[in-house]
Amino acid sequence: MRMAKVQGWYSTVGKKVIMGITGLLLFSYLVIHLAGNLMVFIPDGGRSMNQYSHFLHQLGPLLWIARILLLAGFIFHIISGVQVVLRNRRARSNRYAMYASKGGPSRLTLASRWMIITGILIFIFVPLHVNMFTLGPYYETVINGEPMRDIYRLVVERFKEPGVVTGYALFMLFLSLHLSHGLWSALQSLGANNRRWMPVLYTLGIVFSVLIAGGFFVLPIYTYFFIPLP
Amino acid sequence: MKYHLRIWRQAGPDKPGRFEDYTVDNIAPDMSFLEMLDVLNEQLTKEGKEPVAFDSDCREGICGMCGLVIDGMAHGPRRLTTTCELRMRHFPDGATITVEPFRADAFPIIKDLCVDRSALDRIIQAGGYISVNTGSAPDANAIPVPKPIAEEAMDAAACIGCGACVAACPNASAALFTGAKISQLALLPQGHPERERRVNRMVAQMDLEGFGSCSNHGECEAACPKGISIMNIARMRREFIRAGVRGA
Ligand code: HEM
Ligand code: SF4
Ligand code: FES
Repeated sequence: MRMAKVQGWYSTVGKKVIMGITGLLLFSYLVIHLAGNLMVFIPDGGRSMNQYSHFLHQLGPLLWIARILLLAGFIFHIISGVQVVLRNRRARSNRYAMYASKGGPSRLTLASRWMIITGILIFIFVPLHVNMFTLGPYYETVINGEPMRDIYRLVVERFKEPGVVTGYALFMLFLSLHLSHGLWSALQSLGANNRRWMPVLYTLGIVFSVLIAGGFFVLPIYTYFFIPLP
Repeated sequence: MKYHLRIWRQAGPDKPGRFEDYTVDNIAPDMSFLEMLDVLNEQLTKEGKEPVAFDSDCREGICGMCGLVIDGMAHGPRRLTTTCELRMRHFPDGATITVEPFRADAFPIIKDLCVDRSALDRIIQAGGYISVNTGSAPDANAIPVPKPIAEEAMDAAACIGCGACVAACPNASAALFTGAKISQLALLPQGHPERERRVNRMVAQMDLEGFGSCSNHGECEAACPKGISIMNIARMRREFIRAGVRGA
């Protein structure tokens, strides 16, 4: 291995900085995305949601900049994640016959050990999700005399299919696992942590993972049971 | 007290290894884990068998030479305890105990339970020092260091280089050791002139040795006999980012 290959952003520390930054970027997108989606709960037959979606689409180049940024973040996150996991496997080719956590300050959890598995599940979910909604059938509606896409109708329609609702909710459990270790871990990877803040950040990480993934989890289930087809 | 032992035996670095079962009897509860192994080795020697090779030196928890994975835990089940300070009273009479070496590709097995941890020395050689001209020692209090900072540096400097953090890490990462060694110098004014160079070179050496990457599992801190905090890993990353931003 040449020296240049282990320095700067190629080093294990650098890769985790990339993972932390891109992970937080993707997470901040999830927060905005959820805020938009929660408009499904507004009982106005989808007016707010469609108008919000229309507003986003009118941003034009700005929307594309955001999309490209997110895609780049997603790709860098995945590449670094896979590299890190492969390296970690090579670092111990002879496994222990017996392995146990010592507890105490350890943060070793199912979530922390399954990051690559929950990550791959998210990777499978995202294209399916984009294909279902963004690239799905184009219904039109007119709000305040302005024609626009009726994304609300598509969402409610899809979330009337039990298979879609179940699959969707299941994936959100995996997302919540990924974030429950990922959020505090990203801060730790970026060095944004100290003795006093550690317990606070760890707890907040779990709280946010439950809030965000929980929001996406409740949404399809609520729609299935309580929102009428437009 | 009586124990059944399942011990990893391996004749040399590239030889195949396997578990062997042994039984030791008449073990006093106050014996250390290593003294119990001494008893076993005496028994094996009398039987004309090859004794089990394991490392130790001070046997009082300060040198960092000992280190076994006992029932799946580096330095055994007790927190803040080296293998040499672990007492047999912590194991119930008649228990079966599994003993393995510290496993990491960066720690090749020398024989049985002895592993080569010189990779850690090479990380220190890469930058874990302060360059000073020799001569008369400077005045002790010539450079003021605030008490909390001095204590933080002392806590990091408590690392005895045993490698249990690597052994306990699911990724066999040496981030806790390297973080502690970087921190103890990064915190003090004497360490500042070389700080960028130091973090870059030590991290690069850590990677060259083939240790894994840190996933923030935090198992290292739980296994560390000196309770070195993973906040030292966060500090290593701050130092690393700082060096990167400064273009060092
Ligand atoms: C919505 C999408 C995603 C979000 C919000 C997200 C978030 C995060 C965050 C915040 C971290 C912590 C980073 C750190 O420790 O520095 C992380 C770690 C990780 N992510 Fe993701 N992630 C997403 C998708 C993915 C995908 C698609 C993969 C695919 C392979 C993946 C694989 C990983 C792995 C392997 C780690 C742990 C790395 C390690 O062990 O050090 N993630 N993720
Ligand atoms: S950090 Fe702790 S476990 Fe790791 S080498 Fe130092 S003393 Fe041993
Ligand atoms: S033999 Fe010195 S620390 Fe255990």
